[in-house]
Amino acid sequence: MIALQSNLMFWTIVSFGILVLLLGKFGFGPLVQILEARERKIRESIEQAERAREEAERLLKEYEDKLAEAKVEAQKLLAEGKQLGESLRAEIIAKSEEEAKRMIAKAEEQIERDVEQAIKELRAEVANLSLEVAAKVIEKELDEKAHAQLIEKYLSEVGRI
Amino acid sequence: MAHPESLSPMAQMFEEFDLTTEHAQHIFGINFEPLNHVLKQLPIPFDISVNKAVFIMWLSAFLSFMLIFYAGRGRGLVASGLRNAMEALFQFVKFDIVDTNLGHEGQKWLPFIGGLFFFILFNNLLGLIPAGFSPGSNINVTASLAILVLFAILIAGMKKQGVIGYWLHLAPGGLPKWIYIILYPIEVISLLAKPFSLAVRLFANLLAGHIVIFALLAMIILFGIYVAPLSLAFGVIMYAFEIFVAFIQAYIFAILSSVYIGASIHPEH
Repeated sequence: MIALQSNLMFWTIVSFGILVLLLGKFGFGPLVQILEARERKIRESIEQAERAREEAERLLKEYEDKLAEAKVEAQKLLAEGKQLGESLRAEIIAKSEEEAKRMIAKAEEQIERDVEQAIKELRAEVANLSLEVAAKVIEKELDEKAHAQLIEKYLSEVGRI
Repeated sequence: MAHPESLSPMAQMFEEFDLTTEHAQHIFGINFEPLNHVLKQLPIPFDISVNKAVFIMWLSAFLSFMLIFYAGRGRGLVASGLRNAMEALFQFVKFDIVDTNLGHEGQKWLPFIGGLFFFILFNNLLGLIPAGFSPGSNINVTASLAILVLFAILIAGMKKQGVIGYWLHLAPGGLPKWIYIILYPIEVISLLAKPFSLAVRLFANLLAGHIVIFALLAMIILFGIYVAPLSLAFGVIMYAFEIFVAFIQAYIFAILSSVYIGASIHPEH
C-alpha cells in the first residue's frame, strides 16, 4: 500500500495533466462566458425593471396629479354651474314677473280702451237713438240751440247711469 | 504474496487495496493483461502498466472533461438538470475556491484548481461504485498530485518575485540575522509539509473510509450471520458518509492548494 509504484505516479500525472490542459483550452472558457453572460443579463434585467418601476411611479404620480386637478376643476365647474343656474333662475323669474306685469298692464289698458270705446260708441248710439226718439216723440222741429241743449241734458243723464 | 487460502478473511479483503496483486489487473470485467503486455515492450525505463486504479483515473479525467464540456456547450442562459449541476459545481470552484483565494491574478490557475477538484471528486465517487476502486486510497496517486501542487506553489511564487527573489523572501524580513539560521530551514520544511499533508490527508481519509466499510462487512464473516443486520446498517451509514467525504476531500484538496498558491502569489499576507 505504501510502496512506490511508478505506473500509478506516471498515469496520475499524465491523466491529470491532460485533464488540466483540456479544461484550460476547451472546458472552462465557455462556462465562464455563460456565467458572465447570465450575470450581465440578470443585471440588465434588474436595471430595466428598476427603470420600468421608476417610469410607472412617475406615471402614477402624474395621473394622481391630473386626477386631483380634474377634481378641483370639476368642483369649480359644479359651483359655476350652480351659480349660473341660480342666477338664470332668478333672471327668468324676474323676467316672467315683469312680463306678467306688463301683460296685466296691457290687458288693463286694453280693457280701459275698450270700455272707453264702448262708452263712446254707446254715447253716439244713444245720442242718435234719443235724437230719433225725441224727434218722433216730440214731433216738432226745434231750433238748433234747443236741440243741442236737449241732447246735452239727455247725455248727462245717460252718463250718470 | 501468501496464498489467498492461507489468509484470514480480513487479510483477503485488504488484498483488494493492494495494486500489485492479480486483483488489480481487471475491473468491471475489463482485463488489462494484454494491454500491459504491449506496454512492457515500450522503451520506457520504468513500469507504466495499467491497473484498476489507472483505469479509474482515466475514467475520472474523461468524465470530468466531458461533463464540463457538455455544460459549457449548453444553449441559452437557463440551465437545467445535469448542466445546472455541473454549473453549480463549477461556480463553487470558481467563486468560493479560486476567486476568494487567488483573486484576479489567479484566473490562470482556474484550470489547475478546477482540474484538481473534479479529478479528485470523480476519483472518489467512482471508487464508491461497487467493484470499483478509489485511486485516492493509494499514496502514489495522492503524492503525485501533491507534488504537482508543490510545483505549482513554486512556479507561482517564482513568476511573481523571480527565481532568486522567491527564495530570498521565503522567510519574512525585518528580523535579526541569526534568527534566519533557524527560520529558513523551518520555512523550507513548512513548504514541503504543505504538499505532504495534502497527500497524506486525502490518502488516509479515503483508505480509512474504505477500510471501515470493509471491516464492518468482514464482521459478518468473523462473527457469523447474526451480526449481519447491524453490520449492514452501519455499512450503509458509512457508505453515505463516504459520499460526503468524497466531496469534502476534493474540496479540501482544491481549497488548500489554492490557499498555498495564493500565499505564494501574495507573500505579504
